[in-house]
Amino acid sequence: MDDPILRVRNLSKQYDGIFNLEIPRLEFQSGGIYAIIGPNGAGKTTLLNLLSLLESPTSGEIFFKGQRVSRFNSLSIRRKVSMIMENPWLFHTTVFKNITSGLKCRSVNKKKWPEVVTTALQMVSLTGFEKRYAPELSSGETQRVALARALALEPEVLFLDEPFSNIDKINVRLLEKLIQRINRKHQTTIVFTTHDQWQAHRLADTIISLVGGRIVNGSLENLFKGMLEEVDGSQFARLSADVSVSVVTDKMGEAHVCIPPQDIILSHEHMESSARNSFKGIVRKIHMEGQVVKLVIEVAAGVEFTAIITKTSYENMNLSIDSQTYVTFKSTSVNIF
Amino acid sequence: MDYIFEGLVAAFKLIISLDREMLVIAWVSLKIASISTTLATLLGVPFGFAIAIKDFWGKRGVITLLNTLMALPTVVIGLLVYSLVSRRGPLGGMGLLYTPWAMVIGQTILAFPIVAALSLSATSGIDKRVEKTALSLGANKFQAALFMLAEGKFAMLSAIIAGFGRVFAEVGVSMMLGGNIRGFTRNITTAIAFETGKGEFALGIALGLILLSVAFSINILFHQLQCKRA
Repeated sequence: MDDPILRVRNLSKQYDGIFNLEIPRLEFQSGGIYAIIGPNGAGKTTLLNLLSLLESPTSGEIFFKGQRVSRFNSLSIRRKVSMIMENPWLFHTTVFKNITSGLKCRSVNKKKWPEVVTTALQMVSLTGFEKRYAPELSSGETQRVALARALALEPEVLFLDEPFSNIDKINVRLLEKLIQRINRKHQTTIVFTTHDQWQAHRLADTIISLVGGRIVNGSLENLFKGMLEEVDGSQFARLSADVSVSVVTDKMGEAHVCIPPQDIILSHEHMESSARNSFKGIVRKIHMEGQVVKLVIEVAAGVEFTAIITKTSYENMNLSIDSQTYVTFKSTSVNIF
Repeated sequence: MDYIFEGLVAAFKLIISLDREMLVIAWVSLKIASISTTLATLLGVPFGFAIAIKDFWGKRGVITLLNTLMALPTVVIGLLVYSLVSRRGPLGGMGLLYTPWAMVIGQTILAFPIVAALSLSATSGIDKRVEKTALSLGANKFQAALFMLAEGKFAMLSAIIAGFGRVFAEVGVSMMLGGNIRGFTRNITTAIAFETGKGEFALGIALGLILLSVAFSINILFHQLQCKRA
């Protein structure tokens, strides 16, 4: 494997001693698409700000193509990456001037500007928007102009913070395709944050799960904040007043509890098995994606488990909305962090 | 009551005939106020901007002081500068007293807190995303500051206009430091005071009308910029 384009070591960021991001090690390979997923407050934006060198870490190191980022080279490295915020800001001027603003910072010859702007706008399917007044654009157009503005700089790494959160479904699909096209055409490394697990799986080569400022293994579907307790020598995580799941852990007190959706078995009857967690529930949502089906099963008020099964199993079980089903998983499948 | 009406008629005649003395007085006012405002802008805008974006110990105190200085009486500034530039003062050797430059110094001191405090307020009102966007586009700290100033340009202009309005209409500094010397330091406000004292209402009213017109124009411009800002 090639040297990573971006690497972090023992990275930490503290805000007034309250929030704490701690990343012992993380690497991004050149030309890859990375999704950072996690609940609100997990530290996704903070991590992106650190990686794009918009903020300085409290401690730790960031390496860009093997070169350690310091205050002496941070500007030149920052000019090799670009970041688009969740709510991108377009300057109160024309689309043309917005797109050329980064070129201006780099003192790129003005004669090249029109061609660069035209190409960037073509890429985001906004040809002819040069003279439009940026603040009057729709949110989808704003997102795309922000992308064009970043693309005009030909960044080696493109960071996108929740790029799909403020746009409609049509623009989401458009942006997803665009991201893939940029990645394929220019070999741009893309790092984006999202809440949508499916989107992360659909777009990214690698998914980074972040909870409470720390990278955790596995998917973040079925993520709960629970209270760990011991009952008759066995450990349980209390997810709600009515639901406790058997877990295997040495920890006690408050913790994040995560059950991988692919580890959940669905059955019509209660299963007699070694699995210690079994709950009766009702199917609330069904989402098909290729050869797999994602089902959301409510087992108690406020507690829903997501299970992923094959399309064949789904058809054999004849499940539908409001069907009753049993949700079963092993204690060892439950991740605690 | 007749003298008011007669004064008004004579004033309009002076304005229509573009009376030379009236124009010289207006020109002195405009010239000195413009130089003072330019200096106050060069000092006040970067100062207000820096105070707004930097976090430091005593920041609240500096802001409170600036806001207090906005209401500084012109005669106090006149007295302060007089003590510096009068013959016995530390700058007495420069011979600045009763020159336009003494008025410029006084008016700059008068406009500075207004421009600085309003620039500070304008900078604080700039969306936090502007700086982050600029940095993400590869701007250095100075370039990012220019992006922020550009985004807040209407609010900054409002600050400058407010400073100009204040110095253009003040009388205390001009009278104490300029000495109301005809054709040299006599500006609109000192001339109005002087002519009224002599009982010459016509020129006083004519100058008053010019002053009001300028103040009115400034307020319209100020209002329009505020609307654009919103």
